[in-house]
Amino acid sequence: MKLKTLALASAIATTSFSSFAQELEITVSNLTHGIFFTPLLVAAHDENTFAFHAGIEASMELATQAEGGNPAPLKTLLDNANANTSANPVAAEAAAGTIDELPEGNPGFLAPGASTSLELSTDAENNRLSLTAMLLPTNDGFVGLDSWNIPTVPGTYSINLNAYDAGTEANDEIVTGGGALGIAGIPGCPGGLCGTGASGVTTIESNTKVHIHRNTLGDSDNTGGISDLANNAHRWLNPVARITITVK
Amino acid sequence: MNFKTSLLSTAVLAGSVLLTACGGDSDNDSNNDAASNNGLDYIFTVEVTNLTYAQPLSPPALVLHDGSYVLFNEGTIASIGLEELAESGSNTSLLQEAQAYDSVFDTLAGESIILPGASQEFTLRLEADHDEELNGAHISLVTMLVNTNDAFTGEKNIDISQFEVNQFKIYSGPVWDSGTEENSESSETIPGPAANGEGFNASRENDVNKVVFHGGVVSMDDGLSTSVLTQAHRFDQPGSRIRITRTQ
Repeated sequence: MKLKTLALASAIATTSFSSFAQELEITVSNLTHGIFFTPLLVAAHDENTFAFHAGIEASMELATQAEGGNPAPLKTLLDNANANTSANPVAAEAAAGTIDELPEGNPGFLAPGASTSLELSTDAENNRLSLTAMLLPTNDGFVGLDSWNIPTVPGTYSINLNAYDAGTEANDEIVTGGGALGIAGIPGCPGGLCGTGASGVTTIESNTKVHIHRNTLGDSDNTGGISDLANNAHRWLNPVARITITVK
Repeated sequence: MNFKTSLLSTAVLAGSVLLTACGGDSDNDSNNDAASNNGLDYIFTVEVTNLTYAQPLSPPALVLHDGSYVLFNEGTIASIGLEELAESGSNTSLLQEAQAYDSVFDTLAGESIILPGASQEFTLRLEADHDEELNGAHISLVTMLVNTNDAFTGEKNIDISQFEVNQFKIYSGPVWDSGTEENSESSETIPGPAANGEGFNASRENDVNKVVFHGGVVSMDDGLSTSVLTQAHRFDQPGSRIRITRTQ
């Protein structure tokens, strides 16, 4: 970085853009009591690209992640827009041996109360940071950061993140095990506190834009009721995550 | 307020500030405005997005003021105008109240409901005779979640005096409870489409009579037997997003 780069930064700052490569150290913490994050997708991209916007309909790629947890299609979409992306830091940490090996059936969940870290090198022009990961167990809930303006000034920055609803699937709260795009139901319950036999909370999704999640309803009936979720385990209040970014 | 203050307020208003409401397409107005004043005025756009799942937002009340005006404070009593907005969705009394202060440059009454997932944009202008710091201009805006007893969202005291041209900032609008009506959620008391019940009632019986952060609605699906609301009407923070851009 040093003097030359910083001098360039000040010159450009008058037009309020940064447009040079940066090195970021990122830590994401799951602040919820009982909600798991599916494999995270973190991306630095330009200001014409985005992973999601509240008030705009979700892309097919975002819906795929929000309904089933798979970050790959959205990663490809962003990669094709020349973003710098990092997917599934939990699995990367397990592979590197910095955390325990992941048990079978765990593709890289970030558990309630847990944190994970990654490093991201950004190209010039990629001065916006976004993050997405599905909330499990929900139908199409996700934790999101939308186009945070990466500071040009080195330092450590912390942001609280909210839970969004992709608006692409009715929140029936029935754990079916299926997570395919457009198929009703919740794909899994990593914490193991879900019930069975629910009749379903709703069959409609009237707001098809990405919006703030109204929270799960749940119930206290483990073998029936309208929801397979537990009302004393699977609720949250925003914020649901904290991301800490160190700009070197 | 008193006669003297009203006169002063009017004088300031005529001499310096003009607000215009726009529908979805604000381009025409902005272009016309720019042409008619040789590009010297300060122009801002304010976009309000409804982030809830099923809570239409009432026509917003926007107030342009200096740093000394306060629309409300947490922990203190709501004005009658704020009570009326938070209970009925009408912005009329609140804006009449605001216009009586000489710390208020001007006000703008939104004209239509903002549906869940939808956005509305407003354009406001400070004439060129304001000083370089725009006479310390601030924006406050509030709007009711109409399927509640007395919940409202928005933001207060946003300092726009240091904005550079083309700079924008995004604010998350919390949801407050005006503390002026018991949260019975009964069909007689919810003015929105969920019930079409009563709006404003001057009584503040059975409530705390101070503005606080909202704890959310309970709904009949979560066991409040007297509630007319369903699980769909629940919400979490924030309820709105406010994007302010200085365009000139």
